[in-house]
Amino acid sequence: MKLPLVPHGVTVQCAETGSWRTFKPLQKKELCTKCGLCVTFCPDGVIHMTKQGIEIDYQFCKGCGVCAEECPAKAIEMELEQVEE
Amino acid sequence: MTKEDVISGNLAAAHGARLSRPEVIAAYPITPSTGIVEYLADFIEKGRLTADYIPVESEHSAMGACIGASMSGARVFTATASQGLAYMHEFVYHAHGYHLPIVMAIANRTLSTPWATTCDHSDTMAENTSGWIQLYAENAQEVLDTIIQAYKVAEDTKVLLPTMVCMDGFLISHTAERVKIPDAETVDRFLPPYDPKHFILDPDNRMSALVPPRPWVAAFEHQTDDCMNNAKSLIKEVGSEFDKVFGRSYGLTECYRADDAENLLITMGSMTGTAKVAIDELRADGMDVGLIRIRSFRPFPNEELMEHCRNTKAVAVVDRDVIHGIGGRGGAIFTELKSSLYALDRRPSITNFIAGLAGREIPVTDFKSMMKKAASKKPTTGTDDAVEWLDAFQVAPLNLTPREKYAERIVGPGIRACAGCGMLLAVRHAFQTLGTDTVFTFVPGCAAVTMQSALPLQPLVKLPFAEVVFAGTASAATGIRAGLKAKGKHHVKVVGLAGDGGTVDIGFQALSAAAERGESIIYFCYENEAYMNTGIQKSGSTPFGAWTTTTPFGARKGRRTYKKDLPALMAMHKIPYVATASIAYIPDLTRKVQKAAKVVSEDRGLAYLHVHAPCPTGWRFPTSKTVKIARLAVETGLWVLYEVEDGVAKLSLKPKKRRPLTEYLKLQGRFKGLTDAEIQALQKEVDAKWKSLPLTSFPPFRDFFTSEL
Ligand SMILES: Cc1ncc(C[n+]2csc(CCOP(=O)(O)OP(=O)(O)O)c2C)c(N)n1
Ligand code: SF4
Ligand code: SF4
Ligand code: SF4
Repeated sequence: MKLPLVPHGVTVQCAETGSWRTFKPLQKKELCTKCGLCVTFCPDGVIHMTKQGIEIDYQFCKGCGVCAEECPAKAIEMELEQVEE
Repeated sequence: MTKEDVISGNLAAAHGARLSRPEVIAAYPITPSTGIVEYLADFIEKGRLTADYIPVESEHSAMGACIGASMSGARVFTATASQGLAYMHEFVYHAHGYHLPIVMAIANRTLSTPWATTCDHSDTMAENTSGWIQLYAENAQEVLDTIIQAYKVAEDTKVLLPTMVCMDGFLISHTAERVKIPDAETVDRFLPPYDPKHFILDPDNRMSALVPPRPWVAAFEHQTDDCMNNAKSLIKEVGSEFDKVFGRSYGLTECYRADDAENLLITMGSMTGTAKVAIDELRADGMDVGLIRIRSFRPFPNEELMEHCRNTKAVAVVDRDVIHGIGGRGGAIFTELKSSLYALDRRPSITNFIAGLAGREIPVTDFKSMMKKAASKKPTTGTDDAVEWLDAFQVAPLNLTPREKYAERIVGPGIRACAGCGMLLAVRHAFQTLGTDTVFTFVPGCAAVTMQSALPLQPLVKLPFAEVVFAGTASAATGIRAGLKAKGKHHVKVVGLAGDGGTVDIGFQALSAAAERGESIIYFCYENEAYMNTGIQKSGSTPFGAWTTTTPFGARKGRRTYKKDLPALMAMHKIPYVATASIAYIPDLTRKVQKAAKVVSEDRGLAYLHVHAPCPTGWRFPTSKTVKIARLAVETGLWVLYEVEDGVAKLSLKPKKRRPLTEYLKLQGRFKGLTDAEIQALQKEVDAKWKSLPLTSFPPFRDFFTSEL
């Protein structure tokens, strides 16, 4: 018998929500204080903190702009997404 | 004058209802029928219909209110689908014995499980012994026409039975067609006001419904059966009377090139349009075929079908449902047809096709091959081999690819929630805090829908979970906890996750009881202040003045009553832990989740978390402002962060200086209807609330809000 059940244990290949974006968050590295607020508040959890500063996973970032709005150092700016030729 | 317009089936149903002038409408949102009552709420607000619209907290109450209103002599209307109809069931059965001519539109949808919002007839077939007339429309025009006719049939003293007008969900409800909308005067002449003589709860005309002595029950049931039988001629009479006035005729069945056809295709609902094309093509190829569409499933047109099938050799019956466990394995029409044709001397061979489940399209080619297959069979009396399934394929194995970057994450990326969703932020942090020794259950709503992705089936949350029915968050969580305990897994945390609608409205009974019994589960409610998943309808948690599709801006501006204070109600249950939280204060939220986890792992009872989670889509603000708006709710003092631990209440945060409430309200489109005076009044309420903090008058608590930060 088969049920619509799925095993766990891995975070799997899934919808790449990056294609939803109209605006793209761009970081201004020089302004970033590595406070981590954007990492906390990104609803989708796609900002990662590294030694060099934040890293946005554009494969999944939906471009909501919460990170830019919440960054106290104004180190993230939203720009209109460029459509690839 | 008749107007012609290109409209959806849902709007056609709303027009049909509007023209029938119901006096009371009580309904609850559910995909795909929600649109019908949204349009009606709008008609009422814009003055196009005079009716009392009651946005109840569940379908059980929708049918309850309809039955009450009908017993008091009013003409009533409602609409639902699938789970909603199932949740109504008890009251649905109640209507026929009291002979209440309620008309209910159904946008047919699969009844779970498996979950699907798309069309089949499993929902209404589950109610086909309930004493309701069931009419199935083929298109939007027929939906509109049938609702008007339904009242005339249902209210006739020879019938007096409730009636479902069924249309295929999405396939009719959400597609646009050219529809003739009759003018109100002509409909008024066709359908006079309802003037019940048999049952009115009214001191001016005293009658009461008694529980009858036992032997009477059979007499009453027999009477319903007679009424159902009378409905057969009434449906035809009203159908031809309608034809005289409006130029469109209807009966129990519709025949398409079926006279003396050797082979017959039998269909119901929207599939018929495509099936007719198949008939044309088969005829062009020289095959002797015709089609019968069943319009009235209850009463079932057995005599007519017997007539049609008298000289037929082969019949192909297409069913958009399955009746599990019947001898021949098949669908509802198949079963009925077989028993209807039993009396024939020479019976055709009947082949049943189960097709179109969960909205699967049935193309012309499928109809053609079904008909050919049926025609190739020899006449038989046995039916074991007479059922074929169109869609029973093997599910392909899943290709699971690990993503290293998210290996430690409980909630992975790629969740289909809207950009800037507050619920997602709340749930992501809560689950991460709880860790992997957690099982959860959730109910229909944005969390459930967005966290289970579509094909290929993929879990985006790394915890075992199962979706259950809308009212059942707390009851299912209770059972999961009990089951795990029975298996010796005491340490596993069980979480029930639901939106505000699923919590304060339909799920409250189960939640309240689980709390009072002391079930050690975590109940997590994300508060977005409306039914978002079904498209922004008012919930018991929608604030005063907020726009929703069922509290639209018109004569009144948005919701006119007040939000239910659920955290306070939960605190009154004297459970060990109640806390409010906000997505703008994540460390506070995760601390509260940890406390809840501790409470349940010590088996001390229910821990209730209520988390303010703004929704850009439903509250009408830019996606970037989600956290800002959540923070403003706290800084204006509107959303109070507190926890109640073993009866001791404590503020988690006290704004140093409260910001004016307008700062919160003006950022959101949903509050655009508030007048300055109303905003001032709301501000006064917030001020008064903070003046009375710390609260000492809250009965169950020793020191409510005594310790300040
Ligand atoms: C018995 C029943 N009635 C209605 C529905 C339709 N329905 C599915 S989700 C939903 C709204 C959920 O609202 P809420 O609980 O507030 O969560 P949200 O969508 O806001 O996340 C409704 C009404 C259903 N699934 N079952
Ligand atoms: S919020 Fe701004 S300053 Fe803080 S880590 Fe993110 S980008 Fe850097
Ligand atoms: S734009 Fe939104 S989704 Fe993208 S990184 Fe910023 S907060 Fe996350
Ligand atoms: S409608 Fe609101 S709650 Fe639902 S996914 Fe979208 S933003 Fe989130």
